[in-house]
Amino acid sequence: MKVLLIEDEHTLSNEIVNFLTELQYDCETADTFRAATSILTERYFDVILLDLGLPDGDGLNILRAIKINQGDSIVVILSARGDIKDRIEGLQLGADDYLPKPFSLAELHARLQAIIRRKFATNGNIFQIGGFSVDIATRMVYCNDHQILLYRKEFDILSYLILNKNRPLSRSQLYEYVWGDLSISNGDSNYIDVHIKNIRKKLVVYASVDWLESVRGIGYKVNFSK
Amino acid sequence: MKLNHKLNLYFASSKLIIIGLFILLLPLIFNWYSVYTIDKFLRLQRNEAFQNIRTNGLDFYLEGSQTYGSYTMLKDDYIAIQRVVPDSLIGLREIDDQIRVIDRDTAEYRVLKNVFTHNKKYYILEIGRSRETIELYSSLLQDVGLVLLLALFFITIILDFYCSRQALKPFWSIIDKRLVKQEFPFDLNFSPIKTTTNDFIFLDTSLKALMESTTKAFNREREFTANASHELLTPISILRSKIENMKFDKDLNEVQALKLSEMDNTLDRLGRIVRSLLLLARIDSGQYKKTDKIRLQEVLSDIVSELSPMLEDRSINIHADIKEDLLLVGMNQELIFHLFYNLINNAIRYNKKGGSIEIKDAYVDNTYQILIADTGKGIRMEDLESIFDRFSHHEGSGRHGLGMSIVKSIADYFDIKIEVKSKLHQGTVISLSMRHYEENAS
Repeated sequence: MKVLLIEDEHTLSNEIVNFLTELQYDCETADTFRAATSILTERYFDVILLDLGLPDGDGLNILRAIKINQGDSIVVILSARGDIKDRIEGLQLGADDYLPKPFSLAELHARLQAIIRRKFATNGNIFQIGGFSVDIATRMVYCNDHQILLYRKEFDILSYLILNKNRPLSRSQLYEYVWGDLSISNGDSNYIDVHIKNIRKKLVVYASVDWLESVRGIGYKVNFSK
Repeated sequence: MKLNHKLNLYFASSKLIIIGLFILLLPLIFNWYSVYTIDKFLRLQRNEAFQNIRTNGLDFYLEGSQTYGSYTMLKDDYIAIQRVVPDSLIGLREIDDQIRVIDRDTAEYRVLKNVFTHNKKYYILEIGRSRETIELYSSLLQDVGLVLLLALFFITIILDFYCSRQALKPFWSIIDKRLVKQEFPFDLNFSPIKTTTNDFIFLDTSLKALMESTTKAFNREREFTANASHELLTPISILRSKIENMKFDKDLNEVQALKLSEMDNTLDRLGRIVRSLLLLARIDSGQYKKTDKIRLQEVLSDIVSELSPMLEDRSINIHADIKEDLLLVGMNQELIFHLFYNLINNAIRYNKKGGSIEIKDAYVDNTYQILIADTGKGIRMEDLESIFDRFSHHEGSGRHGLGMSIVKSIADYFDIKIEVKSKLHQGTVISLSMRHYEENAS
């Protein structure tokens, strides 16, 4: 997948590129409005990660141009701009998602995957793990044709862990992903433990859940090798 | 004591002092003045008497006798001519008060004496006027004066009262409009109070200047918070990404991984604080639209179902009895959700295992009131006051101290009055009074 990262902060763009390259994305970067518009006229990208606060122009104008010239690209806005207006306008202009800084790379990955799976709906939406099948698109969990009902937040946590397979996620990362803006004033990561406990309780009735591991001092991970 | 009353008290007492002095001096003044007029009168009488003597001759009056005397019927005044020997005239004063016995009546007279010679003989002319009449006039004048003074006194008191009240009117309207009715943030588009008193114009303009500088300082601080938080977001984002990428390093041992994770958590906390500050700045600067109609009952049941795993985990019983046909208007879905989520979340977090949460509502005096009561550990009296303050630290809470500030900011933003009552170890009751709602909305 070809990704264009439009971000003026080099240190940050390096980290994002490292992360995405590790995940087999093919990354290019642009650090100014001008560089971004020129590269976008020449090439096509599947995913465009767009920082709104560029030194020489408004990122929202790039978004407008993308929507006209390559409308089926996935656009995710990465912004440190505080205004809600930006978020609403960005989504109205056709951005697929909006990630406020400081976001977690794991969250970027999960959101990208969710969008990709939604847009290019394939069998890739269903993950098989330890006898369970988890359908990200329909938000269902099955075990041998038994449907298992999870609360919305429980499914969010499970899918986030699955999308970041084999990588431990911290409680606060999970909390932030699941509760979004609400997480800022309620950093009670104990809630994650409660949800994990409930997920395990609901799943273990059908099969072993030792693939949903606790990582001491860090958080949780889904281990696909089990 | 009100300024008006105080002023009037001063006016009245200064007048009383002056009047008192006047009343004390009045008899002396009247006495002096009446003596002065009578003396003048006596001298005129004397001139007339001499005129008569010159015309008619002394003998006409003496009729061969040594003395002549005449008095009016009521003995108000008398005239007498008497032959004297010069020796007895030593020490004689022109006018003085003397006791005279006239027709067996003893009375005090003001007496004018004039010595003259006739045919080489010495005579004395005496003209007297009864002091009784003098005193009569004097006391009459005193009485009239006193009554008039008192009447004037009361009239001026009333006039003073109305005048000072009128003069102080602009003062009260400045106090009322500028201080009492103003709420922060100030409405600075006001016209000056109409007054001709320079002091009040000065007061008014000074207050306006003060309000303007306060507003400016407040805005500067608010902008600073927004800008600073905003500037912090990118560096935090960089650090976060770096730490996350480091975690993928295959060579990382367990200790290093743990340390990285701790760093990540700290960074998370920092990120949350910064984003909380940004949220506060956004609310305070009015970035959220107030256009949503919200069925509170739905919001609350969403929150309760979202939090139900926590409720189950802590065996907390929640009971929410909320009117179904109530709509909050002029709200923002996101913020109202945030507000109630925060409050209910706190009611769970600070509750005891097996405790309960009660959510009730009622209409009270044109407001819609909702109560959230928990059976938690409560808040200490001394912490209650500062519960909405930013970064106020409460022992053992372990919070960064912005949650309740956000609640307060949201409540203020939508004109919701929020009150907290709490008893230590018994629980906390939070009441919210809202003024913008629709009843019986189906």
